[in-house]
Amino acid sequence: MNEQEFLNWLETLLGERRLTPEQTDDLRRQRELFDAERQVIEAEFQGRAVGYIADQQWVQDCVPDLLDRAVRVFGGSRQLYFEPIGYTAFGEG
Amino acid sequence: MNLARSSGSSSRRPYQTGRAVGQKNGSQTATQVDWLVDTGSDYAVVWRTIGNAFDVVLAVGVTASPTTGGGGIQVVTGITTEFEVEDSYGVAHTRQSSKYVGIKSNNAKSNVLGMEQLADVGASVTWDPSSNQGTMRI
Repeated sequence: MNEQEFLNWLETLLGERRLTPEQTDDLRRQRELFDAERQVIEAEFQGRAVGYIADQQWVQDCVPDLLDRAVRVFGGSRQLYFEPIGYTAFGEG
Repeated sequence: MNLARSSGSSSRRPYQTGRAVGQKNGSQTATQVDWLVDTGSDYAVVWRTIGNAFDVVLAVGVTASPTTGGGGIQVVTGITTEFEVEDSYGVAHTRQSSKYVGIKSNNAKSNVLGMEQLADVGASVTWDPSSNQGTMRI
């Protein structure tokens, strides 16, 4: 998804009531932060899970660790934008 | 045996028909799902239309393919995966997991049952691609 496709998808999630307007804005911001550092992230963190939440970069060994940490620290009050770097964490999904 | 290849497909991958369970507008609801049991997936992932059949309880975050035209996945709670496992006597049991589920941005490819869901119920998986038979076992 390029930037415009991502923004369109967030609007779809908002329309389907799977995100609130605040969560949509939060994810837009976290994706921007990720994209700004994408080259460095892809060079330094191959095989790891990297995300942005509350404007902070988090790096964990795997996606489950990243999601568990996000819920443990923020309890869903902030949104996580993340990517597994150089591998897929969701099978063919 | 509770795994088989998808009917009408020549693919040698393990599927099982189960359900996704949750609430929609305050009422309990469920929908049938053909699960691909995928040892390469951390979590269950469902089509967009299946995800929209349920209320999101907790929206955790999203991930997206970095390439143009790629898909995205929203990770949520509120969708319970349901599937069948066998015990050591070959007796079938229905098990549910409320671990995170990913909702795709589209209805592409398969609905996936991931390893966090299997671990949650203590299940292991065996699959023989030559006979297209296998078992999720507790």
